[in-house]
Amino acid sequence: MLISHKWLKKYLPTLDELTKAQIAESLTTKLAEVEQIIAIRREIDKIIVGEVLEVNKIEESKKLTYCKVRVSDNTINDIICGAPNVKKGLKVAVCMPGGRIYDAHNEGKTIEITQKTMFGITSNGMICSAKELGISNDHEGIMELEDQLVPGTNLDEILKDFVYEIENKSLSHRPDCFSHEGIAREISAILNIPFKQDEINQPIVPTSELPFDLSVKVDNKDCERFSLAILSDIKVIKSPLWLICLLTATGLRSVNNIVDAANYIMFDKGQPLHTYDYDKITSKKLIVRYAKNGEKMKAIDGKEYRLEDDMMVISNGNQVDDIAGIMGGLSSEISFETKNILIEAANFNMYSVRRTSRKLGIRSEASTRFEKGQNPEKTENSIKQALNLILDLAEGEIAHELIDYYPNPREQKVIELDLTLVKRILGIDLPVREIIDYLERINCEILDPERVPNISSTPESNLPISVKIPKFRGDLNIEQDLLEEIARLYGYDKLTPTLPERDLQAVIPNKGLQINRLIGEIMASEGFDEIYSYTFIGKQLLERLSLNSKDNVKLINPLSPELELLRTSLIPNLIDKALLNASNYDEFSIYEKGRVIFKDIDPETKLNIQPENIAALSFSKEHKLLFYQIKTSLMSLAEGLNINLKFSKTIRGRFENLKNIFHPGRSAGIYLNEEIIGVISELHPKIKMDLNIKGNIAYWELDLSAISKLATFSKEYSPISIYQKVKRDLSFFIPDNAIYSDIENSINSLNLEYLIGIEFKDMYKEEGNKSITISLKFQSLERTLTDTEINDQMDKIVKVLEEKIKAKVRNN
Amino acid sequence: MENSKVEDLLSKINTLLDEAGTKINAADNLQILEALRVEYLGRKSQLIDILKGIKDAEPSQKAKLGQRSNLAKSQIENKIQEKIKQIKEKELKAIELQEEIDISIPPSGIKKGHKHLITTTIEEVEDIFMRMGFEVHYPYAIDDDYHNFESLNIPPGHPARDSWDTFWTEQGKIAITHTSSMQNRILSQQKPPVRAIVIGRCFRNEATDARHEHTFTQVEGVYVDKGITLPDMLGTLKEFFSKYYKKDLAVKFTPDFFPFVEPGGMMSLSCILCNGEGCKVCKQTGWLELLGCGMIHPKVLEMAGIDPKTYSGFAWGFGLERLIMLKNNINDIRLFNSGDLDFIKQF
Repeated sequence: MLISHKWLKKYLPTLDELTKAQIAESLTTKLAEVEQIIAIRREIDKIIVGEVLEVNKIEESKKLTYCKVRVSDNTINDIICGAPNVKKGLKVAVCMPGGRIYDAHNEGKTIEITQKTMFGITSNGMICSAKELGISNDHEGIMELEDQLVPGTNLDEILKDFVYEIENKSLSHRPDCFSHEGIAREISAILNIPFKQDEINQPIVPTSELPFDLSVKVDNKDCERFSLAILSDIKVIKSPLWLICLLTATGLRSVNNIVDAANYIMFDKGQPLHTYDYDKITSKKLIVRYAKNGEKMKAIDGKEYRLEDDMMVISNGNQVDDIAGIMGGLSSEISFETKNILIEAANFNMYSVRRTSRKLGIRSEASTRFEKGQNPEKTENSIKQALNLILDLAEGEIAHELIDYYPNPREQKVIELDLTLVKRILGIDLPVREIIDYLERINCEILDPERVPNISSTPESNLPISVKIPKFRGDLNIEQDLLEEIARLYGYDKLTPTLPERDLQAVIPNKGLQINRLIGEIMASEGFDEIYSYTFIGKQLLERLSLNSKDNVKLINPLSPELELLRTSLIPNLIDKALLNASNYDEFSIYEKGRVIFKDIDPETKLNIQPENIAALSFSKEHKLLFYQIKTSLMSLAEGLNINLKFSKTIRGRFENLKNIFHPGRSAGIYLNEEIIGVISELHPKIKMDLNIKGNIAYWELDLSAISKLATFSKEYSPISIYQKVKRDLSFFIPDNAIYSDIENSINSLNLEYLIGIEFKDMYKEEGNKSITISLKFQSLERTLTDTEINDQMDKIVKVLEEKIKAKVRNN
Repeated sequence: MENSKVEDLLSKINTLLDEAGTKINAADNLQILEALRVEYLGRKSQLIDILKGIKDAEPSQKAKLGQRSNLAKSQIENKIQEKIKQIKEKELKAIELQEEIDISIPPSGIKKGHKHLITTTIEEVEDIFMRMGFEVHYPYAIDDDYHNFESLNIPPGHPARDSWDTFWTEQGKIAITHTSSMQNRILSQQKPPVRAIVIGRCFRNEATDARHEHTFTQVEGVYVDKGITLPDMLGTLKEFFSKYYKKDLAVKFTPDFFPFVEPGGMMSLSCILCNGEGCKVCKQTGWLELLGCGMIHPKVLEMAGIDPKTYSGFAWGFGLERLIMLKNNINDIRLFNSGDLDFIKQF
């Protein structure tokens, strides 16, 4: 938001006693950041009002003329001019020799004007275009000034200005500050300097008469107030230089005196106005209503908008003339032919305006202000100010008394403020007098002053004082709002940081944190690098991996198709990142930890099921078996988390959706307490072919949320035997369909007393048979075992293997 | 026995001694030495023969010959030992030379993975706050409007929502825009004093460039108890940042608006690079705007069942990546989610 220094002076007569830097600094520390102070038209110099007295042809030139221009009471200069619109009697801006103007052909640069002789004529100065004055981009001809200006007048005061660029994001609760009046009030409060009120209290007295009707058919909360004034016989012309300069300095374009006046009032008071060409509203009435679905309006931006039934519009009974608080219609727009006008100053509901503006994709200066929630009280003063200004700029007559729909005038709020909160919340000792001073500076009124406790001491009793809130401060509703006012005016910079007093209670790290830490250590020691990828994923990536996206939650407003879905597994992104690194590294291992999101809703939280998962991936440029390598990291993790994982070729549940990327012969479901909690696999050979991957990829993924419920971390000591450990190897053939875990399961089913460990040694295929060697360890806590005892146990093992998995023991 | 025979034997011992000495000297391995030991000191050696042959000698002769031959035996033994030592030393020298390597050759297959820089920073932040008495929580990724907005005093349609460009799911849920999504849960589940931080991944629907990411990590914190003041907030955050950046930093609070705090504002830190002198990073201001914070709005406390008349508290939220980028001199926020091992392996 751009705020003009010159404009502020209308409210702050003593403003120039302060430096711009002081003003900017105090706004930054006490209201909102002043991002920069912009010098407006500061580089140009010696621009004065001239009156063209004569325009003479120069025989030798087609374009150029030489003019006699009055540049003061008693000076007439010869000036050569090439503009097509130069004519006798015109008031123009003249840059005198030695002065500077903007270079029309070199953006941001200036040129010096010197006395020049051409065709025997000495040109003393230059008549300037709007572009050369830094007012607009118009360089078609010279700028025509209003007739009221007196030749010789130095235009410095009108042209030049300083503008404060204020960060308005932090002012979204301060609708009053979207105006020069509001910012001026703030500066007055912050710097404690006088503020000049600008209110018109006299009623509007018509001097002519034009008939008109208004009806408001929307809920009063959507349109609290609607004020309308009518002017007749106005002249729509160009705006005077002072107005053009103020508007262009604050970021607006000058259109004509009527539109400019309305914009001026909006920037001055914060009240958006809308003007209609009275004669184009042939029905002579306006109706405030909700739009019909599908109703259309062509707006002044030239675009046609399709409306919906929750949008407020202003209609003439036949068609829509204005989208309330957002943008006017083309059909009743003010033109240079307009004679009679309607001026609207309304108060529309912030939520309604915001919703409509978002749906239609229109953001205007008006909607920006209404969205913050304007004060309905100010429509009347704003419309009166507009009338005065327009009568001044465009002549005309007041043709109607004020039409004012305001069924429920707002009450002025009173907040009961407990003064001890200043100490309790702000931590500062302030005398009552100072607190009250701050409140009064922001135009609050202390009711019942006799109730105010001892004024010179810090407040002790919690007897509240009654604070009457000015109507323009809709944001002040509770005690804490007033505390903020007191704190910022006192100065946040004066607060001394303190540390709260607290008990010595020790924090217990949550389980998730403990698991995270453990995982980080284990995975790093296993040689895995941790990566982060987006929670979002694209359909395209899933399709490249032959995965469908029907189970992925979709965003309704994604940034791009690649970020449209929520991941249900960490593996697709891991594969994607692996391929990214494959050209740089021959071998690597990566992992990621993060939430995956499913469509199912958890009945307890009413949120999507969104477990925290961990997935790991190993890549090798060689076509080697990676399954066991990556299984090692998984087993290290299980060891660290103290959980007992089981593997099965059956992959059930949510992980089943990924089956197209699992290698059919090298994949397994990971089970904990009979529940599937993960998968481990090499990448399906088809995907490798599809993606032309040279080498191999293996990965696993685990549901950490499920593990977290079961992991205990606590470990118990088992007694260590002092007696000899006996190791026996056993080799046998097993049928093709049997797998190693069948062997362990069978042996474990025996619950042998002295068997303390089974270890896999090797497995190979020989003549269609799988030959396997295991090593068995026996030990007793009480004594050294005899050969007979061990043989007895070995016999049982052989028997169970023969029975359960048809093993054939080899004769070693 | 004749004295001349005694003399003969004595000279024979000397001859043997010389002979053994020469052979021992010439020996170049341990096997030869062992054979020499047998030859000169073994049971069948000539020295033993000599001793056997003096049974009929007179005691004085016996003593003389005995002494002499024992001396010869120990001299030979010493020589052999000496020689063994020499050979072993020589062999060791050879091994040492033979086994000498180029110690500057880098090893292959270093097996040490790297935690992501965000993870290590999260741990660092968690540890500092835990030392200060804050519990650690993690957010959901997908949450509802109530927890992300409404319970934080941001009603539907409120213009303040413009500050959080929100991703919505087809199921009407929100990809959390801040970890304050947990604030209502934390405050309702515990009686004050409540000290907690919530660290996790957040999402904003905004275009990505070197300084902006749609996915980032936020650290939100709350402290609610009796008598908690605005200066307490400044002190607590000053303490955290001073510990994180390992230097004493100044803090500054300037006005800003967040619906869930009142008073609310923006906290800046004296620039960690120039110590507040003014540099390129802090745009010559000496300050780095780092986080939004303030005293928790009474409505937010009430919605969590905490009586604002009895308790007060503060809350803050800052982005973790910005902290890291400042600390580790990283100039592109997109590196964090790039999955690029060239980046990951640096930390």
